[in-house]
Amino acid sequence: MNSKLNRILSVAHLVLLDGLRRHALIGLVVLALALQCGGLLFFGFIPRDIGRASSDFIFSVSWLAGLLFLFFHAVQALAWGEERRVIHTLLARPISRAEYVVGVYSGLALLLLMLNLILGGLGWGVLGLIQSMVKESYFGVFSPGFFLLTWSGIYMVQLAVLSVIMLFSGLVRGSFTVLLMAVSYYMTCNGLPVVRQSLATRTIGADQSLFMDNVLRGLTALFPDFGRLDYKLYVIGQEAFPDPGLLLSQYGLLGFYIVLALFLACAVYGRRDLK
Amino acid sequence: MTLPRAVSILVLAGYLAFFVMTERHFSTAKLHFSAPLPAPVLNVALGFLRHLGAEMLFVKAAVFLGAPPAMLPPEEEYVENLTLNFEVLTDIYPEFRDAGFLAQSSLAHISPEYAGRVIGILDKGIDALPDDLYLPFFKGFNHYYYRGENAHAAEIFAELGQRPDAPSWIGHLAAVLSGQGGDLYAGLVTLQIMHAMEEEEFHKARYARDIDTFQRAIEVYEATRSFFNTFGRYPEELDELIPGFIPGLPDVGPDFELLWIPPKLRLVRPE
Repeated sequence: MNSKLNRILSVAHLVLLDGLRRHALIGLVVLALALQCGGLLFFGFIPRDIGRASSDFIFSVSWLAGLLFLFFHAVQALAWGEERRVIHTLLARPISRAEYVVGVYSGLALLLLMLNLILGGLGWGVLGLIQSMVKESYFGVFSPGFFLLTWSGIYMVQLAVLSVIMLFSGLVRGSFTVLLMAVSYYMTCNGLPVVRQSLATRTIGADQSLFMDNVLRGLTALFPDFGRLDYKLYVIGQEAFPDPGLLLSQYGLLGFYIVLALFLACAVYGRRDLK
Repeated sequence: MTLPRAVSILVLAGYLAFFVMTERHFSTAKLHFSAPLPAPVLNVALGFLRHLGAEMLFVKAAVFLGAPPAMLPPEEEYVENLTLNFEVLTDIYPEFRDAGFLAQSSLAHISPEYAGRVIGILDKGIDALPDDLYLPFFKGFNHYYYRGENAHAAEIFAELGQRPDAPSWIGHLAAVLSGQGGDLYAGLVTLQIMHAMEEEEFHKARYARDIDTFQRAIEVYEATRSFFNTFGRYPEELDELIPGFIPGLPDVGPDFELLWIPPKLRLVRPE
């Protein structure tokens, strides 16, 4: 068991170092820092809801940086593995394909964690600075608990998207195809709640409605509603902490989703013909 | 000079000429306000970024409205797109209060129809932020001032006036609007509630005086009902009620006067 874990950690370490060498983090951090500093200008356009707008801006920038990482570094990094025959070199060692998949996933997840920690710290600082610059009535509440909760939600969603990218990378060849599939997957996850809401407010036949509702609910199991882990509206509000049971179920659901996607990715990589 | 060099200088000169022409056109052209994409499309496209997207729509409207008046196109050219902009942004982000404030200040005065659409925009904010005082106040104001719906406005202000953080004059405004709309009993009940809840003597005395005025007006109103029951029609003038139904028209004080538009008796502010 220990040797298995060591092998996974070794692959993760390699992916982490590779990411750092390719400046995957530093470029994104510089971009996000520039955008977050732009938040200091952005709040000048907002007359009253300054806390809300600043918080939205900071989290959106960080989310955008995470998406750029996933679509343009993670997808590429997985493709490089095959295109540059890194995967052959690694699999020539005593390491299983499943260990390779989990190792690469862990390495990319660690890079994402580092990115989120850096951006989280910067975001905290920028929000604190904005709060100190305006009157209390414009930015009265800044909840550290909800700040961390929001960030954990963002990270969890990023991990879920990363696990699906791992699966797609096993299923098809070519980074551009994987990128298109990943973007389509993300758009479907965004769109499904909109369709469900739209159908819920429309009056159609009861049988038809029930059928569609069940179909869409089933699809939500494949394409999760990531908006449910979006807690950024709480950061500047005075709302009570959400029900712990609900939080546990949301995080548990996404946790199992990630594990299932990785299992599938391992199975696909196990059967895949590596040319 | 070689041919490639001459061509490259010509291309650069052409580019600069077109650049100057284009800039000249756009620097003197009137601003244009484009319609936003529908809210479901933006929700799908933006996902987690939809709140920032809604704020960008707000900034776009604020920057447009803040332009020098000479650069703005005629109101009828942009007002529909501006309204759509606020409707879409509040569909995406109803919690964003500034949208309600800007929609109120830029659209409600245009016509009763637009005041009604601003009420729809404000309603989304009111549902999302039930503790906010300003948005329902704007809604009540629009009903009263821009749409002439006094009874509706009075209902909103009466409900607002009962909140612990509401200034006392809101409830009084509700009573006054009820009187203006001809709903004297609603105005009386609002004033009685406010009188019972008020602790300051100055305000208590004011409410007591207005309660007395409303009660006197209600006596006249009941007399018009009796007149109707007797003759099958309403009196054309209130003087017809004297002396058979009331001994004389009551004094409703300097703050109000009676306005009889059958079948409603209104208590209005003197001109």
